[in-house]
Amino acid sequence: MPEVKDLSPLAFHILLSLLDGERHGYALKREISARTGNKLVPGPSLLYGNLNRLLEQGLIVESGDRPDAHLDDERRRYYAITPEGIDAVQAEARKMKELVRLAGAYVAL
Amino acid sequence: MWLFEVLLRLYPAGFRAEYGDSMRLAAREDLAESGWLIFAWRMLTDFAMNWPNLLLTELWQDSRDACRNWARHRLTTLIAVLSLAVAIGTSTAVFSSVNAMLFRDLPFAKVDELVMLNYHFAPIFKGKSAVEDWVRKSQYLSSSLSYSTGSFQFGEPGSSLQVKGAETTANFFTVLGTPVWLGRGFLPDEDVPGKTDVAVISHGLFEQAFGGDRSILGRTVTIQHRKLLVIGVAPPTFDYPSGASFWPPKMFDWDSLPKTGVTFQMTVGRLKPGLNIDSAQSAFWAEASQTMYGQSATMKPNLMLLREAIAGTALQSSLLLFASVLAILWIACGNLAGFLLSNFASREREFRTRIFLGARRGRIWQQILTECTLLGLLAGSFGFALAIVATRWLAAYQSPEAAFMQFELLDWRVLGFGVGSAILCGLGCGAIVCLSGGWRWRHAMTIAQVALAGVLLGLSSRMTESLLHLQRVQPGFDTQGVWTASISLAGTDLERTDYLKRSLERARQLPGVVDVTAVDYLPLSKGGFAGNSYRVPSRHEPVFAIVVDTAPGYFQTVQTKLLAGRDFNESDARVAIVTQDFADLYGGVQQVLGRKLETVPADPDSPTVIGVVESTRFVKLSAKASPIVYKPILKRDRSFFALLVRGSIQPNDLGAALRAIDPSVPVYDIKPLKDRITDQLKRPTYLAAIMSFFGIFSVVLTLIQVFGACLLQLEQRRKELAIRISLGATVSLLRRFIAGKLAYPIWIGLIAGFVLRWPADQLLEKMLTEEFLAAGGIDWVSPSLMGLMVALVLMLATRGIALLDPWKHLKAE
Repeated sequence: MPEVKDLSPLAFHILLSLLDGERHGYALKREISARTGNKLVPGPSLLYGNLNRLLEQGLIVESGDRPDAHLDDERRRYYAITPEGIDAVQAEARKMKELVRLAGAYVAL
Repeated sequence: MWLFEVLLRLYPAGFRAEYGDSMRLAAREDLAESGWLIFAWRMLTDFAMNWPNLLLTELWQDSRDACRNWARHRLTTLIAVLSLAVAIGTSTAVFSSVNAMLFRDLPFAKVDELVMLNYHFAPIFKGKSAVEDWVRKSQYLSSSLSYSTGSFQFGEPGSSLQVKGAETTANFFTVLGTPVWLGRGFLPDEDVPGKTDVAVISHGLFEQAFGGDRSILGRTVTIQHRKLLVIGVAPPTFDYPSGASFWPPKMFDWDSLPKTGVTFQMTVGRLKPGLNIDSAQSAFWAEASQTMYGQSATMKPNLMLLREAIAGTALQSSLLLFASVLAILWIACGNLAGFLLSNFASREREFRTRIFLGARRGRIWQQILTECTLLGLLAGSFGFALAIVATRWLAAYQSPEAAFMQFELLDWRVLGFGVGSAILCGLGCGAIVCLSGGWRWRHAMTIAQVALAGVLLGLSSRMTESLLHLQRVQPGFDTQGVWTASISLAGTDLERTDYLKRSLERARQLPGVVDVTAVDYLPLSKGGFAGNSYRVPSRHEPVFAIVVDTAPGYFQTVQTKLLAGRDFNESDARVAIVTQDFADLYGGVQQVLGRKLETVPADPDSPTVIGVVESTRFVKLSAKASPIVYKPILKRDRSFFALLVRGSIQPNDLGAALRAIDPSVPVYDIKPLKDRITDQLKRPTYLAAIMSFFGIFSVVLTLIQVFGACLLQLEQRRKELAIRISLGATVSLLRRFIAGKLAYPIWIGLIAGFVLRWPADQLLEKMLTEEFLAAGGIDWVSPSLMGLMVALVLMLATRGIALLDPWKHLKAE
């Protein structure tokens, strides 16, 4: 499995979204856009490029579970977070928290 | 959505195959939500930001796969890459010379307006105002300059430094559009006699002779014993014409600088704005027809672009080499494609499995194209290293006129050619593999390769044969043990005949000397020769003959046979010795002896023939012997001459003995007479060597290709052959069967090569004006040799059939 380096902001948001359950690509995009107040609106190649990288790193997997056929489009691909993915998102959050703590000593937050 | 579909097609094939459908779905929903303008903006920015990263990621993955594949086929990969590298390297090197001559900027402004007039009929000898009047009335020129080049003694008396210089008109730098680098150019009236003692010096002379000291401006330098005021320094690398190191505006003050040899007046003009070369030539010929040159049968007036005039014959031979290397490049591409076809044929199962598992054909093609392009680039980088070496070699053989157009590899056109040919070769081979893996393409390539290799082999054998013929030519004199030394008395106050006699005497006293003589123009000299027209009984028109002034003993020194009469003695005057071909114009040796020659125009002091010697190739080793009239130099008051000394002497002793007579007289070019023949053979040897290399290399590449194709036939038909053996077929029958599968493209290639030889020969004769080509004819040897080598290769490649074990291959059945 490829080594996990620092997560990009988009990869972090993807993992955060998947903590709530499986999502397909476009649902992830909508959720990330809404969560960030449209500050981060990933285009298709950016989103799927990140998903591809997370798949290669083993932080997410493609899910075999699908909704009912009448609610689903077979071209959609669903993704789920793996335990490694959960570890990675926790580690990234801790790192951010530490950064905020360090910054708090110098600037008013 | 059409914009999205277009962009989607541009994404790497692997990414598109994996996420294309999901992206399309997401894009459709996005379009419905956000409106087309925002959607289009998002798609474009998304593509621009992420496409390079996605492409690089996929290319990196394909590259790693390619490396793994090459590692499995090390030897064949190495052969394919090296053959393409040699082809790209040589073609880039040759292109750099073509580029230097045809495309690179010359150090002149608007160079395509500059033309060279090969026969000068401008009234240059009538003075400046006559020239200005001629240009003013010209239908095609807006301005013109004239120059004459020569070799001059530079420095104070006692210095033996000889530099090349060009006496010019005052508008030399203005018409060329080349501003001086330091100081000033000539003032408009500085070529008027009395004001001409100024000079612009070259940047090289400024650096080497004066250490780059700018205070040289306003100081005087001594050239040919005359003081010239330095007023400017030419730009770095500018040494037009003929590697000139200084330029005095003395074209209309002809006698003020003593000359040391034959000089030619050249005229360069700038065309009127908007006039093209064809119109200018028409106007030029119309004007020339009114002059004596227009009526001449032998001296055709011509006006040509200065760029072409500078490149001269070197351009034509470079174009010939370029055509040859393109053929080699094609053959090498054929080899690479052959290697790739075999390679991908052996991986067919891998590709089929991947397609079965869902990989799209586009993804497979992308991988093949990436692999092929990488191979091309790898070969290109090796080739570029080779080109650096080859370019230095080519530059050493450049003509002096084009010497300042240095071969430059770091030129965008040359770099573009090198990189472009590497990528195109790779992509082209990849396209062949993608579009068809079948034998149709392979046979087509074999036909082209065999045909081109046959043509190149034929041309190289003709050039080698011509060179050997040239080396065997008897010039009519013997160079063995003969040393030459050039001496210039120009600008000195010495009594010239007296000095000549003293130098002959001094040389005679050297130990080991057998014969000593003097001559004004040495045979096979690059410096030119003098001549005169003579009226002879056998011809209505006057005959042009070379006139050479010699001292007594010349024919004995160079071992030219005296056929009748006698040699000169010291008291001879108004006598001549002629060559046999001149005598033949009078009806034979006896008919010319004792005859007074009739010069044109008539001269009351015309000489009487006292001897006849054998004919001599005086001008060029490759040109037929010309009629020569020898005259006694001791009565001719020559300002320059060359001493010829036969015997076992030390060249330094000769130089020291001559300089001891008068240190102010420059003695230079002390070298064996043999070197002049070697100089004449230098360029033909170079062309024959490089063409031979091309011929042999193309044949080797073709044989490798045939060998590879034969092995692939064996590999693909292994099971069929096993069945045939088990049914009783003999090994020799099967070898003929396999060879027969490749026979028809080889036969067609051999025939095509044989047919193409004729136009190729015509092209060769048109391009090589060096006159050293031996007569061409129907060449059966090259195609026969080629056919024989191909047959041998087929025999070698099919040897494996004898080792085929039918039971091993039919076990499954």
